[in-house]
Amino acid sequence: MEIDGLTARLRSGLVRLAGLAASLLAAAAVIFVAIDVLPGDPAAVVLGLNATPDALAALRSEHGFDQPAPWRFMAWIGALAHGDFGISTTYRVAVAGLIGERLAVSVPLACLAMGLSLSWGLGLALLAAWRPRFYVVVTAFGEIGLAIPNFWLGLLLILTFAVGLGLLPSGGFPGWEAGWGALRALILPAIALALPQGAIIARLALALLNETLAEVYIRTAEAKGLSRAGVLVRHALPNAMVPLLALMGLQLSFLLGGSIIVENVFALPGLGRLMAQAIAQHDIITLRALIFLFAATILTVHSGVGILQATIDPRLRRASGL
Amino acid sequence: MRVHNGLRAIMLACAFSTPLAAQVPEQVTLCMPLEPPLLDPTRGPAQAIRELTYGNIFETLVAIDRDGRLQPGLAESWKVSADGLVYDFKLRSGVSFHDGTPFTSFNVAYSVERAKRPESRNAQKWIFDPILRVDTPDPLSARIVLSRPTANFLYGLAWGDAVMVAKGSAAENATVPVGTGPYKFSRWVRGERVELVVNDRWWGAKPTFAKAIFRFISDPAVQVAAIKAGDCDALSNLAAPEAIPALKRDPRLAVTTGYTEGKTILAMNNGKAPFDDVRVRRAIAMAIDRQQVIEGAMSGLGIPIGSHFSPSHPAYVDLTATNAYDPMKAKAMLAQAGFPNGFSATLKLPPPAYARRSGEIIAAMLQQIGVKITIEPLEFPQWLERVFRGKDYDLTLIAHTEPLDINIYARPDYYFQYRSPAFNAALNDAETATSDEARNAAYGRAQKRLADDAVNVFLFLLPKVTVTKAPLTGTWTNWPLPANPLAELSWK
Repeated sequence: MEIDGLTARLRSGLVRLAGLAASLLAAAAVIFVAIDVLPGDPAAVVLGLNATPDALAALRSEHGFDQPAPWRFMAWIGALAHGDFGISTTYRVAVAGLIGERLAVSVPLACLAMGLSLSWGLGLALLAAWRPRFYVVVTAFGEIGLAIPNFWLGLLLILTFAVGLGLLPSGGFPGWEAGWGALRALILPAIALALPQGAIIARLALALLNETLAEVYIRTAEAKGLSRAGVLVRHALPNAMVPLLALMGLQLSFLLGGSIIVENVFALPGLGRLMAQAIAQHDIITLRALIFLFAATILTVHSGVGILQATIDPRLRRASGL
Repeated sequence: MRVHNGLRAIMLACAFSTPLAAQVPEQVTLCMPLEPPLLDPTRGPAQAIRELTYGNIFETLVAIDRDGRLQPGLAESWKVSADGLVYDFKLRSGVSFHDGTPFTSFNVAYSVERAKRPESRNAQKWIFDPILRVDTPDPLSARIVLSRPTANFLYGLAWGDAVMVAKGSAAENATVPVGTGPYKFSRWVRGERVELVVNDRWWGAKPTFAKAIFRFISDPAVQVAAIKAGDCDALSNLAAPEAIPALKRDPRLAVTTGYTEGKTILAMNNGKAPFDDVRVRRAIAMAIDRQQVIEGAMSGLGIPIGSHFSPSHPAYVDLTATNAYDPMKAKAMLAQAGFPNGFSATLKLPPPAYARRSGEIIAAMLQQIGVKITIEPLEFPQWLERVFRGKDYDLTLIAHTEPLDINIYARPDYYFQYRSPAFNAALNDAETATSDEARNAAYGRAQKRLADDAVNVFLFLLPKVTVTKAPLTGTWTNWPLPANPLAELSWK
C-alpha cells in the first residue's frame, strides 16, 4: 500500500517534469521562429548609418548570424542546456551576466510588491468580511486600484514623496552596496506596482470569502459558538486560498517581467527595461533569452502553484496522484 | 472640486518650500536620456557613448570646444605641409593612460591602424580612409601622411571615433574604458548609471568634482521630476520642450536652449517616381511651412535650415528662402509635373518624438496640395532595414546628427538616391581645397545645389535644452558635437 503510493507519486512527479521540459522546448522553438522572422539586421543596428560592408560581415559571423536557421536553433538549444545565453550584440557582454544583474533588482522588487499587495488585498478583504460596514471601503479601493494606470500613479508618487516632500528618491537605483539607499529606491515602485495587484486580490478574496460564508457548515460552526473572526480564519480563508494561489502565481510572473512601465517611470535597471532596450536595439540574442526566461518562469510558477494547491486541498491531491 | 484644489495647494506649497536635495560639493550628477550600449566611442555609432566619454574618459589629438572650434588636445601643436598631405603633430609630454601606460606617438599609430582594419567596428571609417601611413620619428612626434588632400581631416580627428587608445587596454574598452582624460571609469550599474572618478594625473587644470555620476532617464516626465527633486544636478538634453516654461519659473533651476548638429529632413526617394522629378520635389518643399512645423512639433525650438548644413559652420549659406512656403505655387508645380489632382504616397517614420510629431503635421500640409499621405510608423531596426538599406520608401523623416555630413549626398547608393555631377564637383572642390576661403565658397555651392534640386525638404536643427541647478556653471549650450566635458563644470 505505502510503496504503491510512493511509486505513483514518483511517477506523477516524473510526468510533471517531462511535461515541463516538453513545454519549455516548444516555447523555445516558438520564440526562436518568432524572433528570427522579425525584419531588421542586428549588425546594421549595432554599426549605424556609416557601417562598411566588411564590418557588417565580421559582426554577423562573430554572432553566427550567417549560419542557416536550423543550425542556429540547435546551437542555441545546446548552449541553453549548458546555461549559456550567448553574448549580447548591443552590450558585448554575456547575456547571463546582464540578466543576473537585472534579477538583483527585479526579484526583490517583485517580492516586495507581492508582499504589499497580498497584505493589503487580503487584509481589506478580511476586514470587509468580518465587519460588512467596511464593504464600501474595499469596493472603493478595488475600483480605484484598477482604474489608476500605474505609470500615472508612479508619477503621482514621485511628485508627492520625491519632488514635494523630499522623503524618497525620484528614481534610479544606487546598487545593493548602498544598503538602505537601495531599499529606499524600491519603496515607491513597489507601491505603484502593488496597488492595482492588491485591488485585484481584495476583490477576488472578498468574493470567495462571501461565497464560503454562505455555506451551511459555516452556520453550524457559528451555532457551535465560534466567533466571526474564528470562522473567517479557520474555515473561510483556507477555502479561498486555492483560487487565490492561482491568481498570485499569475501576478508573480507578471511582476517579474511585466513591470516595464513602472521600471521606466522610476528609471530602475530591471528585467523589463532590459527587454525594452533589447527590442529597441534589435538585440535578438538578449531578447530571445529574456522571453525564454519569462516563459520558463511562468511554466515553473504554474507547476509550483499546482503542487502548492494540492498540498492545501486534499481533493486536488487525490486527483493528481500527489 | 474644492478637495482637488486643496490638494493642489498642498502639493504646490510642498514643492516650493522644500529646498533641493543637498548639494554634495565634490560630486556632480548628470542625467541623460539614453544609456550608451558600451563605453568605447571607436566601436559604435551611438551618440550616448560620446556624450559620456568624449573629453571625460577619452581624448583626441585635436579637440572640438563648445563653440565648435578646433583646440589642441593630446597634440600640443601641429603643422600641415603646403600640399595638405603631411600632418606633423607634437604630442603633450608626461601624459599617461589611466592604467599608467605612457601616451606616445606609438599610441597614435596603433589607434589609427586599429580603426582602419577591415573588421574594425569604427562607425566613421571615412575619417581614416585618406591616411596612407603614420610615422613615429620619436615618442612625442607623430607624422600622419595622407594619400589625398582632405580639408576636414583635422576636424574628423577631433571626433569621438578618433580617440586615442592603448594596445594593452583597447580590447576591453567597451566595458572597462581606459583613456587619458580627466575622469577615470569607476563602475557601471547597467540600465541605471555610470560612475567616474577624477584622474589626479591629468595634464590639464584640476577639475572641481572628484566624482561624477551619469544617470540614464528616458521618460521626459521623469526627467523633469528628477531635476525638480534635486536628484540630478543637470539634464544634458531635456526631451520635453513643453515643460520649459514651468522649469524656467523655478528659481532653483537654470534653463538654456541651444542647438545640436542634428539636421532634420523630410527625405525623398529621388530614385523612385514621382520623386525623381525635380518639380514634384520642389512642390513638396513649397507645401511645407517650416516655421509651423517647428512651432507645432518642437514647441518653437529648432533653428530653420534651407540645406543640409549647420548655421554654426563658417561656410553656412542661408537658403531657407529657396522653394519657400507657397501652397498655390506648389499646386501649380504639381500640375506641371503631370499631377493636377495630386497623388498618394507613404511617409515612413522612425520612433523619435521629433519624427512622429513633425510627420503628422507635414502629412496634413501635403494634403493641402492634394498629396495623400499614409503614415507608417516603424521601429528603428525596421527603418534601417527597409528605408535606409532597402530604399523601399517614398518619404521619411529623420535627423542626421553627424556634424558636417553633406558628403552623404555624393554617395550614389545612399538612401536618397541623389546623383548630381555638379554637386559632386562642388563637394570635391571643398574637400581638396587648401585655403579656408576656397573651401567655404565650394561648400556654399554644394549647399545651394542641394537646395535648388530640392533633394530633400530641409527642416530644422534639433534643439538642445539644458536644465541645471542654478548654481552649476560650465555646461555646453550647443552641441557642435555631443559631449558633456565634466572638467568644465563648477559651482558658482
